Amino acid sequence: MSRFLVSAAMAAATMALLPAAAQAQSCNEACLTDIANRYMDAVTKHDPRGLPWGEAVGYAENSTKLRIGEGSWVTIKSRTSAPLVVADAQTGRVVWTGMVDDHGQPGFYAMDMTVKDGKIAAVQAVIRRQQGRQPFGDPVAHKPDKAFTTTLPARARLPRGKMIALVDGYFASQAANGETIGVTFDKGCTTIENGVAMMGNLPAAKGDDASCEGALRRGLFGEYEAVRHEVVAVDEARGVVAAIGYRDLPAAQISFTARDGKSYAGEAKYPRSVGFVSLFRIEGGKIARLETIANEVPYLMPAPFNAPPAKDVVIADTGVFPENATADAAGNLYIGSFKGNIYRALPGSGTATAWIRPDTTNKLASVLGVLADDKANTLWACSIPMGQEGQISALVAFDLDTGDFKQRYEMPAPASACNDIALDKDGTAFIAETTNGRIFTLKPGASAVSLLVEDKAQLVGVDGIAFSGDGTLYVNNVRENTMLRVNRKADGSFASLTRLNVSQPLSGPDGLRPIGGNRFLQAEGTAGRISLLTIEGDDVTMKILKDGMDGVPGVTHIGDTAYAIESKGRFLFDPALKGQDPGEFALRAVPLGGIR
Amino acid sequence: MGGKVYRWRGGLMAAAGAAMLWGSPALAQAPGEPSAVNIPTCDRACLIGHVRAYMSALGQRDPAPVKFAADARFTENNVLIPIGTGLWRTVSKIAPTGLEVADPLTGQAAWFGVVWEHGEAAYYAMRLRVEDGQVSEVETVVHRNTGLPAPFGDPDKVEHDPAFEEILPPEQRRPRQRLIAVAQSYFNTVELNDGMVFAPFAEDCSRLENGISTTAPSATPSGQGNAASIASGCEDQFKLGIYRINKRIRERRYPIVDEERGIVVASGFFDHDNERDRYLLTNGTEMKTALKWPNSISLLEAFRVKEGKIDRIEAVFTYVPYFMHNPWAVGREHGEVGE
Repeated sequence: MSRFLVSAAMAAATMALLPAAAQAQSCNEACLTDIANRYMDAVTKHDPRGLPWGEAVGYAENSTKLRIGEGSWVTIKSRTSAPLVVADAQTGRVVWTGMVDDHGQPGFYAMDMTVKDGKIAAVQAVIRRQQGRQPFGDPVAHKPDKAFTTTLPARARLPRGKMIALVDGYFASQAANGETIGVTFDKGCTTIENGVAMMGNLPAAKGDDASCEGALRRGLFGEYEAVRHEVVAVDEARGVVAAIGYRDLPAAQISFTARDGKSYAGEAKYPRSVGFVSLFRIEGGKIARLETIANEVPYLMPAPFNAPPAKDVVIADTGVFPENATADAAGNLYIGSFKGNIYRALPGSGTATAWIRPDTTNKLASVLGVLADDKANTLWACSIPMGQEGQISALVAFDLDTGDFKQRYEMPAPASACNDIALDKDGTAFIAETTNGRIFTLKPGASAVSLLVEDKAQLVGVDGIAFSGDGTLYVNNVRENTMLRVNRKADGSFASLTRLNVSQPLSGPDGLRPIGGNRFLQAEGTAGRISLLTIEGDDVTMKILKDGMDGVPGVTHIGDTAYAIESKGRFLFDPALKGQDPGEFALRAVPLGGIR
Repeated sequence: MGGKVYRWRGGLMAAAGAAMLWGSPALAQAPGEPSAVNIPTCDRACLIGHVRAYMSALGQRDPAPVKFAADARFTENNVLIPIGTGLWRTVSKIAPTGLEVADPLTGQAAWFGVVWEHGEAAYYAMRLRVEDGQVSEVETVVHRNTGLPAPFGDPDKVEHDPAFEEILPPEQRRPRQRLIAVAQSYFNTVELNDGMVFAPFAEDCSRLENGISTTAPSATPSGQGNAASIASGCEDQFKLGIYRINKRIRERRYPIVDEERGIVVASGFFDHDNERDRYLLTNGTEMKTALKWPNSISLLEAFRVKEGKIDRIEAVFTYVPYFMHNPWAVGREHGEVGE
């Protein structure tokens, strides 16, 4: 189809939009599956008209951006009537895999579509045609295991966070060539790629060579330099996870010695990357089936839709020792500091400058937690005395637009540490008070904080505090290295504390920020890292996003970028380092999601 | 002449004083260029010296001896990757000779030839840019034998036509823009090749692609992807329309011109959309496309133009995903031609 026709088709599609009420509805799994199938039908008919296109659609084939209506839109003539589809209403992603044919020549096709508000926002496809290197099976004869389409009994299911963790663990194990294997497999799990049973990176000579676990245990991924991936869709009922990504193979060595002591030749002698879409079937906590469609691309090919990485935000001051940060809806960043200043970086700026300074009115001492409250046009800040005589820890409110002082809410005796803040849906501020193990609340319009709970056993050291999307309150404890759910009664009063099971040991958990649903960002000061947390029941699945930083007491995010607050607090608290130059202070930008 | 280049992207140390007399250097800039001053100080020998130093370092798998700029960028088959990776980690041998071209005005030079990776040959073309005596850009195309249908000559028998080294007498030379126009006309002829020939060809025009002649008469089929198995001669092939599958020659760039030798080095993509898997030659013969699916060819290509006519062509090209973009291509406003 010509560009003109495509343009005309797009215009026609726009005119045929759904009614406004329907547009606002979310697209459930059936809706996503329907759009994916209709999309594939449109490809085979070379006609994009009638599909629910979004405003600015991204499209890529084999990692290369091109126009809808070009590329495979003009060569694919038919597609399988029995695709494997994984639809995820939570992420708005739907993955379609199956056979297609170009002018009668069958190939393997995998498509990852993003749907927003019922409209197609992006499509990327991994397409493997016949010509080229192995593996390439028979796209017509190959049928994915029926297990992929079977609904799991409830006892065999895992919550999505754990399913994602299993897949993340698989790729991490692959990248480490099985040095550490953080996942378990069903005995019947074999690795199928482009319809071929694989032994590591080579076609398997016999059936048991294709064992998912065996390849890792034998260390047959010795050619891999890195595995870059992103989980895009989860189907909890069928136990299926879809991931898209790349394997990078530098071919620096032409062979490698596996852990079974044998030498294996590399699959090729030149550097290359392999783009893939993998489907995992997970049963009873184990990876039971693994199907991949993969296609070679130039070495270190970037993912097509990754936004340019955000830049760090440098604080233009000395002796700052930032502790926490928050962002408002406009994208301004606000940073609390041990120096006592609150710094602000304007949207898109790579530099933060002092915005609010301590004075006799606000009585700021050191500023720990800060939280932007767009609804109330307030910046909340926790001030702690840090040993300054006569100073009292307080929650301090400033005008979010101007920085003007609004109000000060002192923490009740004894000497306290207002550490961090969370906001309930009704605008009530919840304050973690570390020293005495207390959580206070401040209702909108109230003149003083109220005690929600005091617990010397579990809350002394309470630090990060945040609500999930369903209104459940969670806290962490920097001293005890724990995470807790704060159970409340229907009237909002305290009921009990539940200690959560965290998938990895914590080391100084500190700032805790919600990013939607049951997912959070957490900073660990001692560990110098930030992590993505998924809380399901009493279990917390933790995925490290970035480590190796110099003390990270706080984290916040703007869009798909997390900002880790690198405090360098050791220069403040370690007598041996007193007076030494800690260098610049910065918020380290860390991408959330995407393939890097 | 030394290796230092006073260029618009360079330090412009000597010119700085003069520029200050006129206030902000921005006021002195030519349209589309950061500076109006471009006084080449790295001549052909200097540039070829950089090329040879680069190839020597590559052969040693050690980029350290190369004088790279601090912000040097390196691409392999259109992907920006760190210097020292990609071919740098697999190369085992480099052909002793290559086709070398240089352009002091743009500070760029190229090398076409054969490299081996762990003993397996690959066709290789490299363009580099020198600024202030340092290599600031390296663009490479590496064609490996991956099983896809493309010319792939005997690596031990590759001979670069000595005509590329010949200094033309002044009356046989043409100005830079005319040389570029001729190269451009070649791509215009390849694009949608339906028999219409825009380019001026010499009668003895020959073309070497990935180490094999694709224009010389061949008594036997010359292997996958070799057009010479269908017809011989540059112009005759185009008149027959054997390159019909080229929907578009995209992101055309002409970074290197040597007026003395009549050489233009071009970069671009041939887009094979393969919307149709059959096509007719101008003589009515039906042809089938080698591949049934969309693909692009990424290339670096050198043209020798003598007396205004193309008489020698040498190219290295490889398959890349359809419609792949070249990071060095930055748009029509920078002189690129084609969609």
